[in-house]
Amino acid sequence: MKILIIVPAYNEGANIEKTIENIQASAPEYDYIIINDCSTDDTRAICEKHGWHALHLPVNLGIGGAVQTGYLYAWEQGYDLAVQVDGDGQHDPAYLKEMVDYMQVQQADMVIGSRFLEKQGFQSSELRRVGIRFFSGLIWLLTGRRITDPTSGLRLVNRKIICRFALDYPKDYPEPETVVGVIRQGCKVVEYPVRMRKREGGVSSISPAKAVYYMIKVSLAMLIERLR
Amino acid sequence: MNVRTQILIAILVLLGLAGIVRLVKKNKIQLKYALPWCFLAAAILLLALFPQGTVWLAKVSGVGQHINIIFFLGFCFLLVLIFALTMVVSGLSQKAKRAIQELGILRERLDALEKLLENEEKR
Repeated sequence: MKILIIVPAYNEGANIEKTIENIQASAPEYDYIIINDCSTDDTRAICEKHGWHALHLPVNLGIGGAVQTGYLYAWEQGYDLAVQVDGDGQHDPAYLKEMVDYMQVQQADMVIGSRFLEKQGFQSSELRRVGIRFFSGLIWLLTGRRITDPTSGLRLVNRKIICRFALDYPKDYPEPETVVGVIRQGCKVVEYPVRMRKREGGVSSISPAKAVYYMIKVSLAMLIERLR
Repeated sequence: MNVRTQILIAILVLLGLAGIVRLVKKNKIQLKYALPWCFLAAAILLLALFPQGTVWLAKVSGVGQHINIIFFLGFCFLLVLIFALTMVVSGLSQKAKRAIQELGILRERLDALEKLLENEEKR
């Protein structure tokens, strides 16, 4: 089975080395690809110095466009499974093997690594948890499914969903709305408990100023996804 | 509206139209995007030459003041035009995104191919 780890990275010069070294140490049997979203720092130079497998976008596309590039690549190169592991070092690649096994046992189309199933590891800030709980409730209202961590980027998907994401993926803040879309299309989505780490360097893509816009945009996108 | 104003408006509109035609000829604007402006020019020209038209429109629509109907129609035209532009931008950004993604993937493939060739040559 061919499995691709998609590592989106925008200005992750401070974290990318650790992320890739972790992948090479704990998931060496999987292929990985760094999607460098036209970083303005030394992300590219670091990738080239180590000879890492990287795809450098000529223009900044934002997180959604970058991750979608990974899915497009996975589709074109015939990968069976693809998993997103963020370049900021929050996701521990040691869980990948367990997630792949769990996917097969559950016959699932998507496995989300959830911080909140066992409530261990870095639990995000209080305010963010409120937002996440809100999305969780909205997903429950819209689809009738319980997803405890709808904003988790650590997601393993099969070829059916790789194809779907390669064709259509939101530009920004893609996670919660794609969960609704995937469930709506009758795919099986399950969660697997993981611990996440606090990012060590760099800055998150969601600043407080953008939070309000984020909540409104994502909620509307989820509603529209349900209406499709 | 006196004749002097009518002639002035007509001249301005015709100048504008000539400008648009020139830009289309030089391929600076696609005809598709110039058309709404041509229709606007035609409408202004018509109303300038036959001001009774505005009076009639104002009466029929119940607006009363005929200058208001002009403002109203102009505003509607702009709203429609801006909305059409929003749709165009949205479509363009979608296309640009896909082109950029494919370009990135092609470069990655090219790098892989070059590396492969290099290794072949070394052997």
